Amino acid sequence: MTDQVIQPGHTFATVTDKIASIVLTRPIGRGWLVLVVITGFLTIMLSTAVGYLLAVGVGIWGVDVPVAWGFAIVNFVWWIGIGHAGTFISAFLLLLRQDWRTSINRFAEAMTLFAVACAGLFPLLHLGRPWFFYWLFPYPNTMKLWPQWRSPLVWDVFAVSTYATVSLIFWYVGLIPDLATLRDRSRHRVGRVVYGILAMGWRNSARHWHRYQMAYLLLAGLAAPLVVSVHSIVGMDFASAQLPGWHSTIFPPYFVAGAIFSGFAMVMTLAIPLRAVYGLKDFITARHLDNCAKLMLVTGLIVAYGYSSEIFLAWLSGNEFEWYMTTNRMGGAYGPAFWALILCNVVIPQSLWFKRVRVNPKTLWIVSLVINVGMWLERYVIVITSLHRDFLPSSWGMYYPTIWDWATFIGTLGFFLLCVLLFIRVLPAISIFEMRELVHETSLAPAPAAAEGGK
Amino acid sequence: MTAAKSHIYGLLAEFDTPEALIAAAEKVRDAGYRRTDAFSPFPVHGLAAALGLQRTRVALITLLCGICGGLGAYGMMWFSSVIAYPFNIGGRPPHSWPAFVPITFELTVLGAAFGALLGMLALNGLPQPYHPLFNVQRFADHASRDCFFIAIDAADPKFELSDTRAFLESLQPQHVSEVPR
Amino acid sequence: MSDLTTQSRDDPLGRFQRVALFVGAAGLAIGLIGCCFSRAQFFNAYLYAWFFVLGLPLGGLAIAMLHHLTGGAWGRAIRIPCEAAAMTLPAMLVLFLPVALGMKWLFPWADEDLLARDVVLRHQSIYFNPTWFLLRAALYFAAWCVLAAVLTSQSREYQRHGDERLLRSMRNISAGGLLLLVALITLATFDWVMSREAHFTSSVIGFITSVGETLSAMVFAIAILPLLTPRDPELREFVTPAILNDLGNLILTLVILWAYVSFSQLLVVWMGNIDHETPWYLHRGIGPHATAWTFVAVLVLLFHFFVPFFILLSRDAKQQFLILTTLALGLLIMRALDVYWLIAPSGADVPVGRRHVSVLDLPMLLGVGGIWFYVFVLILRRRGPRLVAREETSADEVLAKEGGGAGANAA
Repeated sequence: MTDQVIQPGHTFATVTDKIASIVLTRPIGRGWLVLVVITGFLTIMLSTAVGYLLAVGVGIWGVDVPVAWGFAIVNFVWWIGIGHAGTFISAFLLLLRQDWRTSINRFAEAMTLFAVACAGLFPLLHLGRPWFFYWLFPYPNTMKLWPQWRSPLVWDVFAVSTYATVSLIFWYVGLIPDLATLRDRSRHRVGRVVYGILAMGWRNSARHWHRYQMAYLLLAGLAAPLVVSVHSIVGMDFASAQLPGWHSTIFPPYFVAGAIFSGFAMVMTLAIPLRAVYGLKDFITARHLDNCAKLMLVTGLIVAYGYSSEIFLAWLSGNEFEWYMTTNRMGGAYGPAFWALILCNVVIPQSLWFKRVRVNPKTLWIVSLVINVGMWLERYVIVITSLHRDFLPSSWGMYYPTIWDWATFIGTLGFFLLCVLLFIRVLPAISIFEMRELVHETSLAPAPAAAEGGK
Repeated sequence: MTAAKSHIYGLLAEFDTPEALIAAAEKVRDAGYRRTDAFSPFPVHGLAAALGLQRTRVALITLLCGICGGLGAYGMMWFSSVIAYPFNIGGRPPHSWPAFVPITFELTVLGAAFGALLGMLALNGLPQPYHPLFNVQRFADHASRDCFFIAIDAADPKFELSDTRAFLESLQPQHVSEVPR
Repeated sequence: MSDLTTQSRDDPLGRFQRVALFVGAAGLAIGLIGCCFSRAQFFNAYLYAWFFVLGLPLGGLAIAMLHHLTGGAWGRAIRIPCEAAAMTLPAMLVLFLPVALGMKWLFPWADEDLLARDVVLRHQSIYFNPTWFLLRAALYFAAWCVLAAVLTSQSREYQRHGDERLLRSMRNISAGGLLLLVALITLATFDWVMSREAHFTSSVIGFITSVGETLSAMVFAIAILPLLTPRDPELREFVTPAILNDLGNLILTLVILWAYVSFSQLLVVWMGNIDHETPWYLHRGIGPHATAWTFVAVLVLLFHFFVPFFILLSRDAKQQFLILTTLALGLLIMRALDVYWLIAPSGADVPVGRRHVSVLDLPMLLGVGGIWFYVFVLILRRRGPRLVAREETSADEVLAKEGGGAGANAA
């Protein structure tokens, strides 16, 4: 039973009605409303923090020389990494023909978009004068200047904006048939008009499906290497520098693994409560939990491989700065953060070797929360411990986040959750047409007698 | 007959399983109808072949757009740092090809993604604000839920209202209905 | 062995095996003659040949384990040759002997003069010294051989009886084994490749070899399909366009992955521009001045990446047996060139920017490769005439796929 991707007894009609009903007919619950208020409040806190920053400047943050990359970059990397699991689930698993992805991909892609929105905010604000952000793009200007193509920070601009655009396209293309379903099912005029415009007149034509499937597959084929390239470029932001603790050739692939590791943890953190509250256990089954947990285990091991080879080579290289950075990272002022990250990212995830932990929603949820924390700490350790001890002892310093750093970070958490909450009420959180396909493929389908039995 | 033909869009037959739809689509194709279409609430494997559809050009469009994106990106960086504004940064040569690879890759993907999206929409003729098929209530209610349809366009040279209707009835559908324009 | 006599007349595998033995013996003989003239050239050429060939059994082991973990029809077409390749590991241990004998000419840390002059090498000598080097090699081979032997014997048993308990056991071994394999390939790459260039360290280089070796074994197993299909009609029928399509996609994935990790290392080193790292690439023709190695690098870039990449994008191309197997053979040759580019430009006796190419390189490659192929075919024949691996699906999974028998839990 744990191996199933959808519970038996469902038909084309029942999956359609069940998923669409969350959006179309389900009344607004009190719990949902309470959460919207809380996250809305946090979003207001975010706007306040950003507004104050725009008025006063980045001086309100804890960043200073030598640690000029504080929370902003930590949070940027953390958020964008979370986004990557969505693309991984929808693109890689589609290409690998893993049918179990169907019930979580839509939700994971939405998560990608919201996470990228949060991520993009940080480097933008970190610019100092965010209103000149367009200077980063090549455009005809009076001074005939061009962007500095040899800087990974410029690569980042292109990588993140391409990633946001392609994720949006991929998500929207996946949504078109479901928007048509909502258009046809909606009983309100407003719903029909809005979903109708967004569905662009989709009519489930075989000729359209034929091209649609090709386009969707191609987008998956494009998104898969894209997600790897984006986090590699984020890794290059660090590795391009000569700074001990940053300059390591494994950074690009190990950042990618870390991103997917934390992204899956976030998917689990959100999906486990979601399936309980909205009664989606028929669609998000124990098999999904098991598979996601296995992927977390694999990517977590790659991350551990990265940590160990970095430490070993820091010693082997015989470079005093490399080795000092390593010992300082472990035993210096930020040592506790390092050991906490090892605990969260390396030690605790080993419990996922046991099936009992993987298929129990409660334990899995706790492990995924721990990994979220661990991956945030990892970026914190990479950014702060490498910067705070420069080559020259005269430029050593400490980094202390201010209240505004925390307000911005926690504010983005609220904003992200608010987006997720709104999303599950206005768009189908599970791809309806792909679920119909799954029903057909698992040949659970026709038998009209079972139609009402599903739920 | 021509008068009747002008105010209807075509005929629509309804089936209840994808297998029945494929079987019917094959018969329609073999009967020589060309301006036909099938409708299913999810992509049905084998339906394209049953309708006799050609390979799509979406992949080619995507490839070309991707190549344009990549060449454009590399060309832009090469032009700006070798021709327009050569500038020594960290002792690197003006033509710093390793550093140009990441953006070239990103814009290749961006170009290709737009190619896939816009190519698919353009070839499908979307967005389309009005379509006569939605005048059939069964279609509007069930095409995106649980029913499967075949439509034969009145513009098909072989279309003859009564004959075509009789032919569709012979495929054992659930219903056959006329689609008003 | 018995089918050798019955099928020898039109058995291309047998013919190739005999040719391989002859070529191998001739190559080694030329190598031994060369050894009398220049120890350094002989040992450097030998290390290259041995290290490239080692990629085939290690990659084969990796593919077998990946397939036990993921399943999929593609693996059934190539897993038995991959397992046979993995079982050649004891032979590779025997062939390690010249590397052990030639340490002095191969690794800067084994050269007393260099060691005396270089503070970093002295620091590293706690780790890189002949005793530990040999002990580590023994450890790597012990682990690899045990892993290959256990996994292959279980797989043979499963092939015969289809016992489901073996499935679970093979999956568990593969999960841990893959982890161990990558860790040990990484350490081995530090020992046998990275340490040849004093002062150069790269944390991703073990990953590059792991991917490269998996690709080597993959293209090898596909390239020899034309030799295997005449022996087993079942295999001939099994290799349908759908299977070829999957195999083509796997090659494409590995080629992209190889390009990605290789370029990542280059880009980090190029951007950092630090004096103890850049020599690695300067020795390999990537730098302000083009050398002969630049030409090799461009060849590798074109034929190890771009050409196969564009060919494999086309569904029509990868679904054709002849095109895919030819492409695999071409890629195998490019793998040999890539490893050459990786190994040859550095060495113990080499002051920066000199030497490295020797007339012995090709004879040694053919020599070690020929002998290895002979052993490989011997082991493959012992597996018996059937070359399509049995499907690895347990009864649970069949039930789950059909969706039967679990209705009680609905709603």
